[in-house]
Amino acid sequence: MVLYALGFVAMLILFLLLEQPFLLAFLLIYVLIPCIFLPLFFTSVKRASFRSYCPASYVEKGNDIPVYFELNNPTFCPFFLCEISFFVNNLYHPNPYDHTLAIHVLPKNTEKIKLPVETSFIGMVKIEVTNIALSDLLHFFTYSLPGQYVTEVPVFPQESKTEDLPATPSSDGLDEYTESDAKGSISSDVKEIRQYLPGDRLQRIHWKLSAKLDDLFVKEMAHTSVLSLVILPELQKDNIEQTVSVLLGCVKTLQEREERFEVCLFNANSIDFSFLPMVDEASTVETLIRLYYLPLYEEKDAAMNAFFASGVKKATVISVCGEEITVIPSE
Amino acid sequence: MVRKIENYFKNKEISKTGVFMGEITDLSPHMRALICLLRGFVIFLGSYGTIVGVLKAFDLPYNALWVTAGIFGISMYVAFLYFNKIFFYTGYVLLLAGFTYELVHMYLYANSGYQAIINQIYLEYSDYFKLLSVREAQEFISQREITVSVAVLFVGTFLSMMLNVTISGYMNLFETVLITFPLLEVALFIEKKPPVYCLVMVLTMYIFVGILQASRHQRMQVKGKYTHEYTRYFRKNKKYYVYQGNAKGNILTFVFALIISVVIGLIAYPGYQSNTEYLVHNPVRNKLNEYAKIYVQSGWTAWLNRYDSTGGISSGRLGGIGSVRPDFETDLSVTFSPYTFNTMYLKGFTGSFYSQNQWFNNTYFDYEIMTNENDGENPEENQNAKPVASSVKTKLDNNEIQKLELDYRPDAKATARMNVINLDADPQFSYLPYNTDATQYEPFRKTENETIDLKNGVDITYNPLLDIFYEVPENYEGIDSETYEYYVNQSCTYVPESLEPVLQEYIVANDFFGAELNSFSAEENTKHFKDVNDYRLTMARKIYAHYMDGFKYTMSPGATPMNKDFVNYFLNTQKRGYCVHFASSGALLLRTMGIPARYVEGYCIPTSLIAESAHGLNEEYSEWYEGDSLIDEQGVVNVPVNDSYAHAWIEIYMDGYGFVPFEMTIPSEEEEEVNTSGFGDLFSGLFNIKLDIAELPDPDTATAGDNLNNALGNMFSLKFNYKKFIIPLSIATGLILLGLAGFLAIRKLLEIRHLKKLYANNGFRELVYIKYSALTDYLLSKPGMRTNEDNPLPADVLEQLKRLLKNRTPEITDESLTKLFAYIEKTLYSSNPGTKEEYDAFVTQLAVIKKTLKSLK
Repeated sequence: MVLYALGFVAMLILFLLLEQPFLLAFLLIYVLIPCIFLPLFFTSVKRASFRSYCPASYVEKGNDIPVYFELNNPTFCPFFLCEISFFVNNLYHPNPYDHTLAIHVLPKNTEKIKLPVETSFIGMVKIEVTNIALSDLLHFFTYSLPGQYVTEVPVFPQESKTEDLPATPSSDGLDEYTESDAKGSISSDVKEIRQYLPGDRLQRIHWKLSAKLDDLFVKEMAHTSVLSLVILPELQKDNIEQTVSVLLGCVKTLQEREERFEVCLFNANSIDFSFLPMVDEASTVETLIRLYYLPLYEEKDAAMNAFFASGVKKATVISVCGEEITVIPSE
Repeated sequence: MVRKIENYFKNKEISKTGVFMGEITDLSPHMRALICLLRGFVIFLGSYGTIVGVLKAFDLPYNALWVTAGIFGISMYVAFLYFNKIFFYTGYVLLLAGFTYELVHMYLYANSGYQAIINQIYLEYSDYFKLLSVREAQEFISQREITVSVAVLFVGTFLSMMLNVTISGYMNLFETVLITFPLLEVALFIEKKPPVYCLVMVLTMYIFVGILQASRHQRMQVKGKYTHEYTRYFRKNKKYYVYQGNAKGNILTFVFALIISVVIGLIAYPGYQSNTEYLVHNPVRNKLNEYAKIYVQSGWTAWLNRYDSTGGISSGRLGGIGSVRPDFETDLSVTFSPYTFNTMYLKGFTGSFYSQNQWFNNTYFDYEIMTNENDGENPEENQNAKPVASSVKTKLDNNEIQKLELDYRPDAKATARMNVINLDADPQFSYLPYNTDATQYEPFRKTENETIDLKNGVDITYNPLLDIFYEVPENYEGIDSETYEYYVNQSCTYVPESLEPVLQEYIVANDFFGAELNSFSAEENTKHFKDVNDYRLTMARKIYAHYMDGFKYTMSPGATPMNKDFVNYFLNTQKRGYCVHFASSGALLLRTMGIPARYVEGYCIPTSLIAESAHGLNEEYSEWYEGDSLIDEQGVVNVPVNDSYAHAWIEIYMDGYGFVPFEMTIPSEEEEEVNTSGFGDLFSGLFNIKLDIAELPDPDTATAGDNLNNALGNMFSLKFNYKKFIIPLSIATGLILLGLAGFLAIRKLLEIRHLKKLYANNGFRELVYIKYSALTDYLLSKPGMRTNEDNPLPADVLEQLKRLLKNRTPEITDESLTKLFAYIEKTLYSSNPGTKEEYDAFVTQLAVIKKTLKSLK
């Protein structure tokens, strides 16, 4: 606006010094254009809307994340200068760069922009739009659209298979397919009632509860949990990528072997564990997304040490730390 | 190179942050061709509106169809240069080559057209400011409609190219206004109004550019292989991605600009058509008017002169003036009847005494009186008394000198009347013709709107000087008055003591006296001539001839240094000057030869001035002239004499005639050449243009018109001036090569310095990247590389190296290569840059690899 005013003053001075009526025409422009556009701008700008999204639920490392920005203008006023400020961060490797995309949007139009984000690390990539500023034709005023827009896309490592995953040891105790001959109610051996997961034996279904709750529930027997398999990834900072890659490889191998297992995620801050089954792609994705939000730590074997110290579960543990896989049978 | 730099920074960022913004695209079609088309149209509006606006304002004839089609075609052509890089580079080369070729081919027409435009503009300015003189250049071809059209096409091409840069390239309103508005202002300044539609066209362009510039993303890069759809730049941790050009947005803006311009045109039209008269201009406008007048009359160099001529004469002050710039305002209005084709002089200031770079109109001399002792007492008894000399210092002022001179005028053969009105000349002097009784008169102060006529002037009666050979009259008995005799023979031969030996040496060195004369005594020298007047005139002519031979006339000779004598400096060092220089030194040289001479300032009226500017009056000739005349009766004329005719000359005392004027100033050396200023100057050095007017067909012949084109081609022979071309081209080429070598050397030195700095700061990742890039570049240049990508993956490069270097040298094995590349990948893509030892080992191995690769055929 300062430049505009300076230009007006310069034109006025020229007009007065050169004594030329023609220059009045320039002064008229200076007055006319703002008078037309500013009211239009102020009445139209609030009706604009913005949306950001990514059609992919996840991408593999090395591939682009297809992020889309859409700016909708339902009015007759064109917005030739729209600046969208956003951050693109991998939560594992935050960066200080602030991005600003300058676009335009014509009247009665939706401007759609594709922003491919190239990736080279795994992790949760967060695209956060912090500000959408629309300016009038002459850039006098700027209006910021309200709202925060965040798009999160996990980046997974490339598919690999862990061929050398050792066979999980069998237990000497009762196997999970036999009932206990011990006197007393089977229920005394029930450790917990949990929701049915594909692969659970039908004999374990608690039919009464399931009928009542209209959903399938199974009995988790005390001795069956002795034979459960847990994969425990170490979220060590320096080799998180290898860890996740090997974890995925293990998961794939175990799934192919049709073994039942859980992934145990250790939160180093709150020192607690989450057990998540990974039986299909959806659960795998969900597990990894949860993994990406967990804090990383420096020490090696922190999760394993905490797991055994807490005695949270008796299970055969497959510890994954970088490229190392350690199988620790249950006692 | 650009791509490499981009890849480098991309890899650097992505290895650090894990993410990088890829190529942003807009999902709506770009329609680049439509953008170019629209911008071409806007360029057309701007250049056509400007050029045709100026032509129409000055009523210049032109062929509307040629001009419209030509400018439109050029505008579209230049706009499409930005379509892609192929168009850009080849298109510009073709355009410039075509422009140059056509300019040479149509040089005469273009030049004539250009001169026609300039002449018309000067003429209009001259009419507006009521100037008496104006520069005019020659138009070889007089058919203005054709020549102006041709010239305008060239100017339009140039203007379109410039607008293309400011619009398509930069989208900058200020630059766009800067290259178009001043052209329109040339017309508007003197209230010549271009048609409203032209102004509407130009306004449309301005509004279009202004709005798009404010939007900050309409500057369109030339599309090449690596051009981004969104321009990227990086500033203080902020990354900007800016869109370049959108067809629909451009169209919308254009429509809006057009509508607004038309509305403004309609609103402003009534006021635009009316004329506004300003009785009094503001000081800035007055100053601008002054500069405009000076430029029209004398060119832009006149602006650089440092002396503001006021009234024209300097009253005898010499040396401090570096240059003279007349304002061409009328100083004197002189009415008389011409009686000679020689120059007439109106004397204002007479310098009799010279001292310290100044002429004074008063004079001092020692008047020696010879008396006898006891003078007065019985002289018969004192016959043996010795004469005693005693000197009396006498001062004569100008009036007294003039009174004395009344008695020493030649016999009048004619009597004439002159009316002089002093409008703007120095009021302390009265400007009088020779041989008049008239003395001082008051200048006339003209008020606004008052007409000047004879009643405002002073009537002067004078006896015209008719003799030019000045033989001593038979009845001449010498000067009666002792005082005047002393004045003539003492004062008017006085040369300052410090200057006399210098002038004597100068006279001897330049052989003014020749073999016969060897004395500075006029009395001695006169014996070799017919009479004393003959001696005096001959010496004066010799001095003049000497000036003609080795001196140059200029109105900007530069000031005399403070510690130097004006005449000495002029004669021995400067050797260039204007009338004051020649007159002062001429007078003093003559005085050194014993010839009485004076320095005079005033105004001259040459025949050329009378021919150009005089207008006849309905006056009775007999009331203005009586007696002999050197020419036929010319009637009575009034001549406006402006300050460019202020002049300095000398007077030489001629026995029997008194002090008569003599012109010492040489004419200007520059020949009256064909004015091909501006346009032609660009190329005139490259070509010798020979014009042979005799080649033109006789206009009376039946086929004269048909043969005109052929004749023009024959009479205009253009010889490529190799000498003038080769030398500048060689110099330019040498400079370019030198510059390039210097640039490459500096770049190499900076690179080496950068690498050393990186090594010292453990910047191994960057170093490894640079070395790795150099290796891949080298490999890519080798035949046999299977990949066509210019940025292959390390795995591919490793495979190629293994293939190329297998069994070439024992130092390089597959294992060592694998280890090397593992190190490269680890360093480039992990957070660990490695150690110095690892880097040194890497460099050593790399050197071996390069050496082996070089030895491969």
